[in-house]
Amino acid sequence: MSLARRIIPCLDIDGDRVVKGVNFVGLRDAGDPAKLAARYNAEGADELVVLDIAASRDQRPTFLETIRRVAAELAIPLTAGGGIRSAEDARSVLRAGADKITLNTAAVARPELISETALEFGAQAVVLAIDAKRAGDQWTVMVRGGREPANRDAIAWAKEGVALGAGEILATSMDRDGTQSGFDTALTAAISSAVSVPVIASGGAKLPAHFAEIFTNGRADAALAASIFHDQIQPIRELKEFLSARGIPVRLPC
Amino acid sequence: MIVNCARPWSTPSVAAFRSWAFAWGSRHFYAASDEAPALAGLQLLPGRVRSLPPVVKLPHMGWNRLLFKCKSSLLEGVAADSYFYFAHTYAAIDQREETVATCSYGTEFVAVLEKENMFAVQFHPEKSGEAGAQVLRNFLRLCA
Repeated sequence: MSLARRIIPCLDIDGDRVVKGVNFVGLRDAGDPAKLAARYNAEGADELVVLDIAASRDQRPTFLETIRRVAAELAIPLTAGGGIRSAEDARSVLRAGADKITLNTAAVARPELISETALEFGAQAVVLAIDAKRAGDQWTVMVRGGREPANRDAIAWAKEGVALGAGEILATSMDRDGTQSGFDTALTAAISSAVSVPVIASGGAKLPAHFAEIFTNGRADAALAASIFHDQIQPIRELKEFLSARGIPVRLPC
Repeated sequence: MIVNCARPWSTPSVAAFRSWAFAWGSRHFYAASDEAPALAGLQLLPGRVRSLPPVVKLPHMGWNRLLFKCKSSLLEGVAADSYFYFAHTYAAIDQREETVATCSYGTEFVAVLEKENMFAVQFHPEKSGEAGAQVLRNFLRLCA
């Protein structure tokens, strides 16, 4: 008996639509969030992530309404993030129907935000999202949707975030995101070895073999992808059957 | 009524007492919990809720299976290999007669308990897909 490795589709949200870009730019429309959520719920996704990529104050009510519409379709956990700057922001996202929040840029600017939200909502509800870009033999943290370097080492930041109360790390490789060339195994393994909480690998997924690799050598507890699921390049059931056949514990949909 | 309050002490659960029902942390049933040591539990059950051992990644986050211990009204019609969604660090480790199913993560802990008209689960039935829906249907039938 063991904990199943999770497969997590991610919806990047701009207003009330799902969008997808390559290396965080070149966005195109990828569908209705609630419709995609219902499909993933039925196909055996283990969790769903929705990220407000615009993360602007003006669009906040639209994003909260999107969370409500998505949550109504799900019998699996929902994680939501993008633009959460305070415990108050976190509360509105959780009240809209999310089970967990992700913190990114605002936590880099003010790390206490992690402990504030963890104390109020529990560590299990606080996911620290780290956008990491390779710099020599290390990874540097990027913020503001990957546009600005934060002058922080990604591994050190993951450790600090967990010490402050983050219950999970969502590690996105900026180098791999949108490239479909496979997850960044070295980055994920380095973070997973450094922290005591579960790690979600993100960025670069295409083939079932990429998932098998990240769950074994990458030591990931969960793997996140967007376009390969949205575009139906990779059905979730087939992916899970592939992993199961290789001895990786997954929850097979009935 | 199902309430899933997002508080640090809210180990999710479903509970029923005679004709009324609520969802609350299973730790509330016990005498005490290490998650909030200053607060006493309802003491409906003796014992203490403790942290899972840090030999595994914590929180215990994700889908896991149950070990059925005895006949359960709450788990009726639930396949033995079903997965349920867990998101917690603390659990009741000591098993007693009311334990009808356990889960293993770092150690074996109480996942489902039933005692007379009292029911509690450690996982989130409302986030556990079809298996969770079956538990909720059973619960509603037991409350009726």
